[in-house]
Amino acid sequence: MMCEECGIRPAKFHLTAITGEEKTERNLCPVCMAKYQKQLPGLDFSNLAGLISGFLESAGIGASDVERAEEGPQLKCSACGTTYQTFQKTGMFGCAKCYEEFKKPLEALLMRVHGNTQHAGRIPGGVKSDVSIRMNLDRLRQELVKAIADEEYEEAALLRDQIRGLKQQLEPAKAEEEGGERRA
Amino acid sequence: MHDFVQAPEQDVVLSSRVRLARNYLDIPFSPKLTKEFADEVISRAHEAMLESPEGGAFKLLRVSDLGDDQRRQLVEHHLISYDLLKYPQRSAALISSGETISVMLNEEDHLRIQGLLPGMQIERSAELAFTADDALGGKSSYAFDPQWGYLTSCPTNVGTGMRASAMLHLPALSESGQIGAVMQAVAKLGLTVRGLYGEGSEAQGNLYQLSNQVTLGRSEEDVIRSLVAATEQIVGHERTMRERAEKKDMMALQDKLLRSWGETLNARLMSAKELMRRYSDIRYAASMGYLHAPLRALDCMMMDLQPGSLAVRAGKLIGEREGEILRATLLREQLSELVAN
Repeated sequence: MMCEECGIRPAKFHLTAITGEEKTERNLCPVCMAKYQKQLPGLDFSNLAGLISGFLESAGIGASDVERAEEGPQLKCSACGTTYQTFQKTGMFGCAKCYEEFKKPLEALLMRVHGNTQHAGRIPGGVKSDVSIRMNLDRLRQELVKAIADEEYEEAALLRDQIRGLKQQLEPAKAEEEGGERRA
Repeated sequence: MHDFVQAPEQDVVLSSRVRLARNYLDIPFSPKLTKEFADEVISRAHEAMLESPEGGAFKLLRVSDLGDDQRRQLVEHHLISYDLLKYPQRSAALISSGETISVMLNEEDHLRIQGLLPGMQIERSAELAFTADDALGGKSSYAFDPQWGYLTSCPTNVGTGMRASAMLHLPALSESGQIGAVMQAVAKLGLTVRGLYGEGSEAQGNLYQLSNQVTLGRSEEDVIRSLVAATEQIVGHERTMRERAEKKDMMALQDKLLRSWGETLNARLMSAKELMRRYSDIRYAASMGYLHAPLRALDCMMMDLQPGSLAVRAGKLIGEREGEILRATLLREQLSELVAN
């Protein structure tokens, strides 16, 4: 495959650029890739922190609620003092509590990085189970009840979708579990 | 005497590695880590390891106690990362005697637990890493959240905190220009391809590291399953391309690879970069049966001739030219011992 930019060199990179809701994909050669990188502010491929701030920018612009973008930078972790702005620059959190304090902007970011916001793996103590998902389902159900009580229907719809997604993640595990019990 | 290790799929897969990122709940993460807290991380991990059944096999190395060359040697052998050397005053590593498990302390996360095995043994490497994980997390609580999973200082690792990888030698796929297509295909599976020494390092010696990108929302088993499946496919493609190259013009292929072997045997100066090229040709030739050499020994030789390891061997700091001469000499000696053609 040849480079889509110059058409003379073979394409070596597959670049996916996300701007707001728009996703563009291009196949580029190293020379054009270098040129292209310069045109993308905040997207520095040699530096992971730069990549995150790139994600953050696009997440911020893409988010329909302007609040999220504006609220993020002013947040500060009460435990370690890391500000959201510092995180945007370095890509690093200062402590475990930061994950709670920056939950809102973080959800949008992690959705973009991992395509998911729910852990589905091991939990401490070497237990291999879906306990993590169940614990989170309980939390979301409580939030859903509260959202409906407060007549926050948009929020409730989002929560409902999240719950549905988690249940789907649980089901294959559940099926296996039952199969195992039957065999036992 | 050489160790003739036979490892699965070693004609294409050099090694398998699984790395887990873990942090202690009550200690600040890397950016806010003071010297006192860093020492606390080291003593906690060291004690927990000593108490575990395998504890006796581990050695604690503080980076500040190591010379520059020893540091580089550990990096070249993939036992620690370059990033661990950024803060020599606070960082350390626990390394098992067989060098199959290493735990980096106070790198980007408090603990970076790694299982490393030759050939295609991703599942087994994961078992090693999880065994060490259970030993280290037994007494102290890890930073963990039911929604986010294991909390890491950089959220690109949050969730399982796991990076599983396979180191692949892909000379025929590279030669045919299909590497780009392979990279695109694996990207769709949430996997990524990097050079020999991880993030940002270029692919030298036709070596590529295939690893998972995503850590949140998929279980460890699931991720490992995709990585194994993708690796098996790439191994299959690489073998097909090797066969095809041989079928197309065996004489030309043999001529190219064996000339390279001949030049290496007669070289008097060998840069680190040329070493990688020659290593690739000789490994390719050996895997095709044009030369008879144990692949694993070739891999170890390549790592031992990297600049840091070379200096450790020389026992002193050496200049670039001196290094090139020493590398050429050692390469010649070792190859004539290892290879029968």
